[in-house]
Amino acid sequence: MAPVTYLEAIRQGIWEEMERDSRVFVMGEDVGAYGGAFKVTEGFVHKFGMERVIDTPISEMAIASAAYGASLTGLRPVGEFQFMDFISSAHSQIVQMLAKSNWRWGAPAPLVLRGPSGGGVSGGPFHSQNPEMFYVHTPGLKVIAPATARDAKGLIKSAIRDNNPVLFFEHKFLYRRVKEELPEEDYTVEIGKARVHREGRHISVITYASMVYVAQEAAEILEKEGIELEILDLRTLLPLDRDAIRRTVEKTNHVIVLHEDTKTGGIAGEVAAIINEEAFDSLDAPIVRITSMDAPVPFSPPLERAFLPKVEDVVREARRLMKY
Amino acid sequence: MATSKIEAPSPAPIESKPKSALNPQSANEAEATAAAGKEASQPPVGTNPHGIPDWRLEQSPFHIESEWANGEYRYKVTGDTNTPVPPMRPSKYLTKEQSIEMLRYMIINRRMEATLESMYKQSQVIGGLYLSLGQEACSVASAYALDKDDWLGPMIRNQGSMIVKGYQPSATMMQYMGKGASPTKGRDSGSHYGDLKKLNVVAPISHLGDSIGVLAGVALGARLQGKNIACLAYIGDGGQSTGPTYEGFNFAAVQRLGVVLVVEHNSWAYSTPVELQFACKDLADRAIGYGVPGVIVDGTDANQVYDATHEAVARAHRGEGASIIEAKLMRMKGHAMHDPAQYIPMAVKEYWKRRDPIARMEQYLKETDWMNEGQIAEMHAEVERFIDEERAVAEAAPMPEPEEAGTDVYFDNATDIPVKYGEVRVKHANPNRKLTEPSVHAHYK
Amino acid sequence: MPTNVVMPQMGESIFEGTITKWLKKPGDTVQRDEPLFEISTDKVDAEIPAPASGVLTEIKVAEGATVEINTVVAVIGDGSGVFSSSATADATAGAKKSAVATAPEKAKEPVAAPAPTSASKKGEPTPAPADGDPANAPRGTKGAKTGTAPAVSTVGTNVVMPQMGESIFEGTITKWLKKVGDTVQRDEPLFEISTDKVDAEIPAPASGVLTEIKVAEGATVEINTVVAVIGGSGSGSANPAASAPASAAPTAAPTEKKQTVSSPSADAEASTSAATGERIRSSPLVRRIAKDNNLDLSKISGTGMGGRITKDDALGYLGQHGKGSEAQATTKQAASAAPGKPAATAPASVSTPMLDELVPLTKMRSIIAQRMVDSKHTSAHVHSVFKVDMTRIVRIREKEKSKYEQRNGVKLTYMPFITRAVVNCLRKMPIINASMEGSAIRYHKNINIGIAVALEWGLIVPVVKQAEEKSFLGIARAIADLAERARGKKLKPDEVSGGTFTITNPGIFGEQFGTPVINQPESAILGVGGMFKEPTVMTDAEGNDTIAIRSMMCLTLGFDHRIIDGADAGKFMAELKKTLENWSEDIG
Repeated sequence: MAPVTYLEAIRQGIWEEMERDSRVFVMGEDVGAYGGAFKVTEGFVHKFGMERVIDTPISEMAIASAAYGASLTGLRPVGEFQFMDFISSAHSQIVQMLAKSNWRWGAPAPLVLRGPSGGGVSGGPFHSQNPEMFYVHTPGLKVIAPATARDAKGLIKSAIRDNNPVLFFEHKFLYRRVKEELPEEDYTVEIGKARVHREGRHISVITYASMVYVAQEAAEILEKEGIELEILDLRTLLPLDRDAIRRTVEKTNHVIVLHEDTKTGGIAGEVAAIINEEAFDSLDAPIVRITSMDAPVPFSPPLERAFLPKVEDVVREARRLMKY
Repeated sequence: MATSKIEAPSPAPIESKPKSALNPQSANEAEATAAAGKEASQPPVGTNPHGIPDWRLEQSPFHIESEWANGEYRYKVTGDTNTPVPPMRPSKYLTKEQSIEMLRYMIINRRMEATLESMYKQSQVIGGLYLSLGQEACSVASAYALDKDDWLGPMIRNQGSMIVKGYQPSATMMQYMGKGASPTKGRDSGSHYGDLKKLNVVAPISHLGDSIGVLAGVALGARLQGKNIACLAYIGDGGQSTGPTYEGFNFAAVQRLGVVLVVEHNSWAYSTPVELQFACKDLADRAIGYGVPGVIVDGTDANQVYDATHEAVARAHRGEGASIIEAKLMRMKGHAMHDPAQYIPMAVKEYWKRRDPIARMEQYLKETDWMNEGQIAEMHAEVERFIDEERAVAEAAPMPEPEEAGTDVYFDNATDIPVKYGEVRVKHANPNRKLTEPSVHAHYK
Repeated sequence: MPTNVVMPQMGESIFEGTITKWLKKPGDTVQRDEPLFEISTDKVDAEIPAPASGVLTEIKVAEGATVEINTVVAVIGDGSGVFSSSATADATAGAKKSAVATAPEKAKEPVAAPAPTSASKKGEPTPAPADGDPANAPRGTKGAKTGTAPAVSTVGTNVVMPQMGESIFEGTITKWLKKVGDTVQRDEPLFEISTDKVDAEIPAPASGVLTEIKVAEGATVEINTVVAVIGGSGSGSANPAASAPASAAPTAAPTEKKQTVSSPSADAEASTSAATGERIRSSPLVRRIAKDNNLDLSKISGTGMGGRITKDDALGYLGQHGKGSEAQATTKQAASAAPGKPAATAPASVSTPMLDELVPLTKMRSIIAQRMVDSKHTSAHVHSVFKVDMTRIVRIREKEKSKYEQRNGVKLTYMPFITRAVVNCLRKMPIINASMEGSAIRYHKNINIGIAVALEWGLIVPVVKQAEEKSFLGIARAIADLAERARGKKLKPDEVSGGTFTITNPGIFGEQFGTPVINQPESAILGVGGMFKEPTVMTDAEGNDTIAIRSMMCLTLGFDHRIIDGADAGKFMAELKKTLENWSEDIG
């Protein structure tokens, strides 16, 4: 079977779930005849009908609210945000209403809100953000950010089948850059489980989404110097896979947490705290954070390059750690 | 487009032409006939300057402005607050038994809240207490127009609607007391509860307007499952200022979902008068912008509230979409117990006190000879006993177990969540179509 | 079953309310929900309905009074009996009800009975919860005091670590003066404590048999910790069997504490090099490897940054040398564990220190150490020595001392002379009686003279407060009283603080003069040297010099040059010398 892009993998995942389960439907801006700003739902409306592929007004609030309402009747809506930056317009619905729904009044909300996030495409401050941590801080939600096509498909299917509200942060930089062969059978990837992307003995790079590839490039450079990176792809940010984090730290004793999100309040702080709780006496050096800078995402390429974490950053910090 | 009937703006404030924008031509034959019979004896219905039908039998004879006087900022009343109380508009639909039952719900609503007020002052109620004195007719009569399969999206003062929908008063009491047996197991307070399985009530949150889009989604979900339902949502004159109100209701309007939005114009958003909340005269005017039918009713007249909601619900059941009902009334207490509402001019309070919805309903039932003084007194006594029993139930209920604080954050994945109304139905689909390669033309490379 | 009426919370941020009017008076019958009183709060005025039907038996808060929310303002009885009699009969029931129905009430009423006791450990029922939190104790323990329930008689009196000053949050038990099984009288000294501020002898709070000691000598516990129990179930029988296991507890406790301090010997070795006293740089992982393999990290050379021992260093060493021996580790453990023992009993055993071994500082020692070093770092110390002819005072004292003691009940020593003279001079030179606060000087209104008192176990400086108001006799009495109580560990926290000038008298041991360290935040200290008979040149009125034998004494003023210049110090000392040499004041 031919290799499939990250975007196509998500498209296949939703398509297959809609074929499999009539309770699943999609709604969002321009998802119908146009097929979505990134063409994730292209062709869906003809296959499944306009009842199950709903073009909405430009209102993330309405998408989140209506998805939640429909989920209360037992359906499994998949709401698309054209860019995850706009999730802020639905913030109160997500954080106040649907995240607390099961805990407050025993009303499960099986829905998915998905869309592209992340930078590296000169999208500017409103089309490049990584807003996931606002929601990682919200009990009741599940937050997913896949790095590979295989995971993207397996996880979107798990998200649709999950009985809880799931926020699915796709990475737009990876949409068409990542390709791989996918299993032919119907498969899912379990939510809440990290994945060892690359094995290594010396330093664990704990990361997710596009930064997995930054870590991979660094690993290839460092390999020649005899420094082996182990790359742990978190895949799910809420709930975090504490065991996987502990295991890799016990193995390498050196940790770099790498993410594209900004530093303060990013998941690196949480991962560091988990290591402190679970594997303190496995540390042979302090935990290093490599993240984008605490600033909005800039538009112009030289600025955005300066803003984002780079392969050189990982290489430099890894060398320093090995000398520490 | 929605099939609303928007009348051309009329210069006359009151038009003496009987009509109802919510009463469509395609109404159920039998009901239409019955209604037509009663409609003959109906007082005429006017319209506001924008053509919105106004069912009230009196126009507000005064208005409130803020002014600077004697070195102080205050609210000033302009106009006559001593106009006589009009009679209630006879209902086109309610039977004697229904009318009596509605009165009982209203008395339960009030008696329960009076009890909660006592319990608050006795430190049995925890946190804030939000009362709906003066709003009982609006809560009760609107919810009374719903069918069993219809949904309710209450707000903090719609305790009466919750009771009509099937909750026992002890549920609200336990909510306010933080009891473990309350509908939210002590996790949330007051009217913040709901029921998915039987009563079809969406638990409200404190953020105003957020429920409206949710009820649109509920109606959408039901329609996908082949059923047109009505979803009754409330918003206040203050809450309608929020973006979610517009975004949620616009979605319902566009999708022609059966959301019935009752705008409880209770004159005060906490301490802010409507003059500082919106610039239009009637909130029902917003219906024109949404492209749905709107109507103005007297919120202290249970018959008007019921009939308007009944017609909007019928529209929803026929799949004709959303409606707006603006109910003009008055919040007779402060925002919550700590607020003595001294900012409300005394004359205004007195004006509305004479328009007490329960007193008006009782007067109406006596005038129609459906109840006499003794029967009404007996009803009050019976409700008092009932509320006392409910209070005992609530008081005896245990407080929650501390471990419950952190459970149920997630719903388990082993349990299947059933659909509410049945299989999803789609008119036009092409099941044989295969997934093709997506085009490369997209936002960003 | 009486019902408490409480001040309601009228709004989330409201924490108190004023009773503006009582609508009923004691003895009136009230119905539930009938208006009972009116209140006024920051947010709202309201009429408060009665929570129950019955007879208003008591109004606890009068009209016009403002009380916190949930305060019990009145009691409604069931009307069956009148007032006090019904209260007694219903005590137990009242306790039960309150625990269920008036949870938010907390401990507004004083909790009369002490909460946890050793009785609960022995499986006997007690009415109070074991956690000792008064907020959780049933309010009705008051009722328990009436003696209806048999369990009540077994409740002992808890002895707690007292709070010796507002900022004090822990204290060390230095000595138990009684042992389990002893009978103690109320106010009889029971144990000695040492805190940051003061050492003290703590009297028993009740009479009875000491049934349990919960905290052993040497242990430091938070204030209000129950350290012993007097009476209770053990007292009734004076059962030695009951006291035996109880007395075993305190010995177990400190052992445990010692272990936590000293057992990870590898850790201790790892983090501190015995030779250099420097911290060895490693990592959490390296320390674990060392611990697991009995490695001495000081023997491993580190190759990491700044000589840090890395994982590879530790594993490399392990590969070459193998695991450290158990014996080696044991020796080390024993060595480092040993100091724990004297630590616990240090105050009692100063005369026989463990030779050649580390003896941890006592609380008092460590405080002195800290304060002395801090003072040296704070003030610019300068010392000025004046030789004073004390002959006149010696003669006065010789002449007066026996009569003086008979007359006043206090010994006549040199200290009140010196103190009195100092007070007079300080009055004239306020800069010597001042403190530096940031970039400002505070001239103290009062003259509070600290008197350093040497103790067997250290040093303490009780303060003669407002010495400027005291006569010579007053000062003499105050000094004698403070010194005696200092030695008896009976000083109160406020008696060892607030000084504005200190006098220290090491001269009694024969020194010529010393250079005392200023007692912060004061700015000067007077050191009193030894008194020696010396040949002295005397000049008479005509200017004739003769040599005479005089009683001479060196006085040293240690002063803070930041605010006191040499000229001021000299003037002060000259004045002091003049006052002492020409003593003219009646000594009473």
